[in-house]
Amino acid sequence: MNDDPQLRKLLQESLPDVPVPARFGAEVWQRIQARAEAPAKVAWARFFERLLAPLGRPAFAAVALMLAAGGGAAIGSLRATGANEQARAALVERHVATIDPYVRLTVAR
Amino acid sequence: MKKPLLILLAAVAVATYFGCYRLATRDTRRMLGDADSVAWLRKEFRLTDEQARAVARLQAEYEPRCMEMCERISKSGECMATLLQNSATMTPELETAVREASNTEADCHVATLKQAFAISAHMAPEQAARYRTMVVGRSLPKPARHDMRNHR
Repeated sequence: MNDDPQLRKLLQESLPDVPVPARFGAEVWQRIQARAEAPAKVAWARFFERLLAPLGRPAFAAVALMLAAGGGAAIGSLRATGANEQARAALVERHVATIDPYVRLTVAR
Repeated sequence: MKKPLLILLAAVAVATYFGCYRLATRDTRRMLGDADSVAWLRKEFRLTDEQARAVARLQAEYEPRCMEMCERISKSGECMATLLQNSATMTPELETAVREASNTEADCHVATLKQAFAISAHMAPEQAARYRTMVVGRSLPKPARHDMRNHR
């Protein structure tokens, strides 16, 4: 890697004589930085791509549809059980308030 | 291709969730919105139409008595509060007010239990036992309630 005067002369002659924009250097570095950050985004997207890849096949899509329906129904039923328990307690309290003046006064307060 | 499918999956999950929730809570929501408390008794304790009518009649007859007791409790409480504010020692008036409040409480509990037993008398035996466990336990004075829970 010795300095070769002939090579240097050749390189200088080969450079095109065009005006360079004012922020040319900064813009180049911005592009380099953007490229460097891109792989993380791509990996994230690639993971989802691989996860969702089977959905392209009708059989897997049908299974996913059934799972979505079953999951929604299961969670809905579970939440309904809790809500029914609460409602039942409120209904018992409401009935007790019709026969027990102390409970009625407490509820009215 | 996958985006519409994902939206469809989410929509199906949300729709089945709300569908199941609303379907499973339909009866309780309706009963909570219904001012008629006998509607709940009818469903909860599987009353026949005749039993439900008898219970409704009992409740209608009891209502003025219950209101009267509410008034007695309120008056007794107010009287005791006034006497307590104006007394630095135990006075004969305060003693009378305390005894009156206790009598009121006892009368209310007796009336409540009578009504609960009268209602349960119109139910099938196993439903009546369930009703008594559910309702009578809530209507007893605190020490008795505690004992009842311990003896269950």
